[in-house]
Amino acid sequence: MTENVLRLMTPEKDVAENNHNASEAMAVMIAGSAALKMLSMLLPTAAKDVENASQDLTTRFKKLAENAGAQSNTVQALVSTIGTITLDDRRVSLDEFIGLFGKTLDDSVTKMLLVSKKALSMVYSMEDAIKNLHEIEKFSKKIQEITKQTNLLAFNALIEAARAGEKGKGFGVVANEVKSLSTEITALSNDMRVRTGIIMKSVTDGFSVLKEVATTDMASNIAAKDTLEALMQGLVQQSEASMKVMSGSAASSREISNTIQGMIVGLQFQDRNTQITENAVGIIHHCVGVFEDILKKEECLMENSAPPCDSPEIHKAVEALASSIKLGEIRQKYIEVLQNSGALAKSAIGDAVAQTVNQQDIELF
Amino acid sequence: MAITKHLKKGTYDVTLSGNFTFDDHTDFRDVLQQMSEADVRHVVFHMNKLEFIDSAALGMLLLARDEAQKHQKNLAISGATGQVKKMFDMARFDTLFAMN
Repeated sequence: MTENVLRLMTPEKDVAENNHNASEAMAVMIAGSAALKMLSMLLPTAAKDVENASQDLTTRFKKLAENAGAQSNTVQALVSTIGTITLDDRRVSLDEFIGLFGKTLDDSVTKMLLVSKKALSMVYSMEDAIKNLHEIEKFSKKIQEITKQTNLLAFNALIEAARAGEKGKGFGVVANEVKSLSTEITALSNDMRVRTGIIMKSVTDGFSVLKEVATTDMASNIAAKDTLEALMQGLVQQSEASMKVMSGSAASSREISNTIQGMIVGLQFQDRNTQITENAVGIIHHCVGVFEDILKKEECLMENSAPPCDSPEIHKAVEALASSIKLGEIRQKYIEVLQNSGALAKSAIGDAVAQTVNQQDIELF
Repeated sequence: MAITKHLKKGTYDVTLSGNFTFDDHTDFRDVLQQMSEADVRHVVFHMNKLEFIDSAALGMLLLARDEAQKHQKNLAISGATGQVKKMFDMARFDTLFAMN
């Protein structure tokens, strides 16, 4: 079309120049069309890469979120376990436990004091008992003396009775009775003394044991209550601090899980990416079609202005376009597309173009 | 332990000084005796000069409490310090005696 308009408007000597301009324009379109073809191949690949990568990430993130959630649950369960203690068959809160503990200790102290009091009371009673036993021993001695006297009296009475003869017979009987009574009393008195001695021994033995009990100082045991209670408080405080830390940890894990869930949702952008890419590829195909239509029409119109394979016009157009490609890998692909379409030769000359182009490399990775 | 007793109008004052242990139990018995016989409503044990008390002595004080109750007398403990006060605290004597 360009050539027809120019023929009508310019003189004959400019026809060659017009042919050259048309050739250049066609070379640019060939180079551009090849670039677009290449883009239409690259874009779907890039889109598929993004889709695969984001699916992979989604799967991993889901796993992460699950793990974080599970961790949060585990720690939460730990917290409720630490906050209680198993006593017999039921679970008791730490506060309740301290209360029970303190009460048990108080109980022990009260019992110890009671034992002390009763021991002292018994000491007093037994001291009285021993005092009385001593008195009884004194009585025994007294009885001995009395019976000795009585025997003497009875003996004297028997002598007087004998002196009195018949008249003293009754008196003699009485004196004999008194003597046998006295003997009986002596025997009883001895018996009592022996038994009192045995009781005395038992009581004094018991008394020394009791004294040992009463003098055992339980002050340190009573003091232990203080120490134990302080220990208990310390343990409980430690537990409470641990629980606080763990609750924080459980909350953190839960937060992580939620954040990750959010990320997973965000990743689903790749859907849109795929759509946009498909749209772009469609548009590019259309452009390529338009270019090829134009090129066909020009070829029909100008049999000698279509740029041949490897022509300087094509090289010029290709180099101009290739300089805008930053990745060497993509530049290489572009050259391949041109060679496959016949615009560049797969020969030394075609490769020379590739070389020139590659020297302008700015590798990104 | 040294024990001094003072009977004034309405109150029987007993001052304890030194160390109160099992060995004082005979002397203390006299105090108990006098306490129950005295014609007073109030009995006070002064402990400011008491330096040490063992568990046997705590038992004796509890006996004194029983005696006082038996004879309708008020028994108070005053001036406990140091080890003595500590023992009283651990034994929860504040729940058993009027303390000051």
